[in-house]
Amino acid sequence: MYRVRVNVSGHAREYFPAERLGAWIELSEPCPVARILAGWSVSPELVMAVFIDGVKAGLESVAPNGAEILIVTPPAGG
Amino acid sequence: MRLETKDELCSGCRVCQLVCALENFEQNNPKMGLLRIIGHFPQPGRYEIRVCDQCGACRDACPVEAIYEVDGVLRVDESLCTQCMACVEACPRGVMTTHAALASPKKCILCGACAEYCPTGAIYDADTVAAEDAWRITRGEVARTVGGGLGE
Amino acid sequence: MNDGASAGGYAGQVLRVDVGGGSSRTERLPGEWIEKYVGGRGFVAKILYDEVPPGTDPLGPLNKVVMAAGPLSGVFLPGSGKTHFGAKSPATGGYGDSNIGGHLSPELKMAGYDVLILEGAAADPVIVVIDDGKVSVRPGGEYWGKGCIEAETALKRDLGEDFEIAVIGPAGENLVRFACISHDFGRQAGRTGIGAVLGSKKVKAIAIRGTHTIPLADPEGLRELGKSMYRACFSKPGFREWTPNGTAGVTDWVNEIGAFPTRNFQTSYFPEYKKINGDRLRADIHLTDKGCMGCPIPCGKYSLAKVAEGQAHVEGPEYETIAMIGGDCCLADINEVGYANYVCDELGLDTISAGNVAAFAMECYERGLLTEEQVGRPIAFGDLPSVLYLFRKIAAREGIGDLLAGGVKAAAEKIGGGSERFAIHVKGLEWTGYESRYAPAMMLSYATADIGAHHNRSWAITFDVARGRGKMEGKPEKVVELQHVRPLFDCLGVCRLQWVEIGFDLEWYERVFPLVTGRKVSWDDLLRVSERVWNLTRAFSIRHVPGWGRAMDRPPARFLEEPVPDGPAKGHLITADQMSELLDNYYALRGWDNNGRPTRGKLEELGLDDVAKHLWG
Repeated sequence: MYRVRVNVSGHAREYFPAERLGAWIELSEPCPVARILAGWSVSPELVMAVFIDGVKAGLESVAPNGAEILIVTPPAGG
Repeated sequence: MRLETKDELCSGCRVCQLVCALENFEQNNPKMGLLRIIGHFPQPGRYEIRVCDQCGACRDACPVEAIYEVDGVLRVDESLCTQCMACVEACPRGVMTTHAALASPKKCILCGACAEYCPTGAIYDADTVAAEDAWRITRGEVARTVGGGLGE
Repeated sequence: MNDGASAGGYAGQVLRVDVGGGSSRTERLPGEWIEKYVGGRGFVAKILYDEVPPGTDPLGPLNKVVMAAGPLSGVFLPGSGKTHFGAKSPATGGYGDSNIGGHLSPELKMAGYDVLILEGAAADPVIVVIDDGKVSVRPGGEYWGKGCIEAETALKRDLGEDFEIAVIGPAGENLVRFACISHDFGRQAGRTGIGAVLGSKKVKAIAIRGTHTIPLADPEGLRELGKSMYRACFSKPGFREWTPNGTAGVTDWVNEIGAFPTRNFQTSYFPEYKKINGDRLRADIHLTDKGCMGCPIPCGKYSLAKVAEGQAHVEGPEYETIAMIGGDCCLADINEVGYANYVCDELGLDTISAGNVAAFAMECYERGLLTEEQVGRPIAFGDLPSVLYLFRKIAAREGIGDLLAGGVKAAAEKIGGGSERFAIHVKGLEWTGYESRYAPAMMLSYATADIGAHHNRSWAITFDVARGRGKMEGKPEKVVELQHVRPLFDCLGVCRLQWVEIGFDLEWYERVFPLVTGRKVSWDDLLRVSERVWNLTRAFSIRHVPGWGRAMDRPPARFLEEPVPDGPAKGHLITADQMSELLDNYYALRGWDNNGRPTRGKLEELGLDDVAKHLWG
């Protein structure tokens, strides 16, 4: 059993499944962050950055069991 | 509580001054804040934080002994103060604060609100937080300081 | 201080300054403005609509510059440092406004005013000094000609460190149509050329110092709720991760989805983007973060940029500068982008329009539409000296700079040769940092933004990504929604980035509003205000600019006819027919007619009966 928790920062959070965010997700085996999103039908293009336990990672990174994954969506400004 | 600062973390947002004036005077007025933020721009490009370290220069300068100490915190007794401003001139950090709407000079009483709400951890309670951990305060990775007694 | 129209949040006074005569007068802040327009952008729109009649020369003495705070400006809550400037725009001839961060509106309120209106024009350079209740118009000749940062330094030295200052540079003095207003050593109200309007009035600077308390309806309640709002920000996922790179952090993403302005918007992907992204900014040139009043997530990045010509301290570069001077002019070095940013800041040029105009000139040069003789030297994409040369010529209005100082629309009209096809603007305002040929909602946002091409009224590109970039369905609905939500922050006088970037919940504003003002309003009530303001600004521009409507709600020909040539968006465009259908649906949703005019019914429904009379008789 593989458990991770995914959170999303930024206004594009509204395009992610709200009920899945911040809750522990259980999967049969470790997988890249991108595959978790694919399972939710969320476009990887909504992701600006990925952090795993506070360390910058990527969509293809595989978080360790029990990790906290943070997805930062793009900002608008300047 | 012992207020310490890390200038390099300060962004000049003045949340410290806003919360200080609300906490101590119920006024939304950063000009009444009992600490100073000084910008050094355009060069070299940094902020400087000045907080009261309870050094006692104000008490030593006061001719009427209106400034007294309770548990390491210096306070102003308004009933004795003659507004001579000797303390304001004596303060080495420029944080004895005067304002037209305040009866006498005011000073920091270590309520801790600035450290509690500084968004970057640039002001922190050195009794509870190590300097290198200051930036982690806002994230909740180290405990926030808890405010002491309020009011005078 | 407060006139009783509201229990708090407002200083309660409007300050009018006749910069020519040097006199000033104070008026009570009308209760009707508070109820119908809330503050900031709402006040600006109301004042300009009522007081600047059609036919007014944007650079004549009858135009007015309005500076307004919102009820939440300067209050102990996240991001309360926003100030709104407005004037009839010399860039478009229509309604113009621009927002700026920093500390101006809090200071204005502490000086006792919610609104400052500058009227008339001085014969010789002046500065306007507001020191609590004391207002003076003083000779400003010694500051005239100085760069923005140089002048702000001198003004702080002469008046006092504790003055907050808004200033223009040589570009504003020389009436460049995209001159900005600068504050706090590198923040700008950049858009729509309001710096030139100040220049036309010979106002070099506005200096403000205030010491009064900003009244609150419930100070104790606000103090506690304000604390909760900060704690809510601190606990948001992304609170620590977003800040280090600020807005520059989005550079990689915009390239990877193929929306990055490159080579005068010829394409939407800059292969060297990793050299000018947020990581490079943070690692190579960053000195300190710089926050506006009350900000928990300071996006301002103060930097030291070094190039062959020299080195410069600069606030930035922000994402928009990276896009328009980096990608669009093809500068592939964060130091070069930072240095060019500094040069614009000193000259008082909006980096967005300046980058766009320089890129336009370089494409004209490549195509032989501008010659070396006309330009005064060879110019080329990717060459920093070329870009700096153009900026300096523009600000001084020398040679080629005089031609370009009117912006790309005016320049294309003079240059001809089909250059209007790649003059990337809407209604005379230069396009900004999102190439939108594969983003219909974003394209519609630019086409319909009330000031001309601008991203911040409706930043809908993530909606395009989430709902399908090739799809048209649902896009107008989202654009209308965002055009009400996002500019509402400009009425309130707070920053929207806490909401946009870290997901700070909108419900907080509904909760905090009554504690500040004593008035209970729902979020829907506030959105209604924002819709009212949107219709008012539209009506202003319709009355001032012949043809402002459907025919002008459109992107340049390049975006409708040339598919993106390479990168992740290769092959895509939005056709004229698709654009037309987007507009049909957009107008219908807005209650506007098919030519993009607010109907009588819509205007009356919004309580704009006088506007209905003006438009429909």
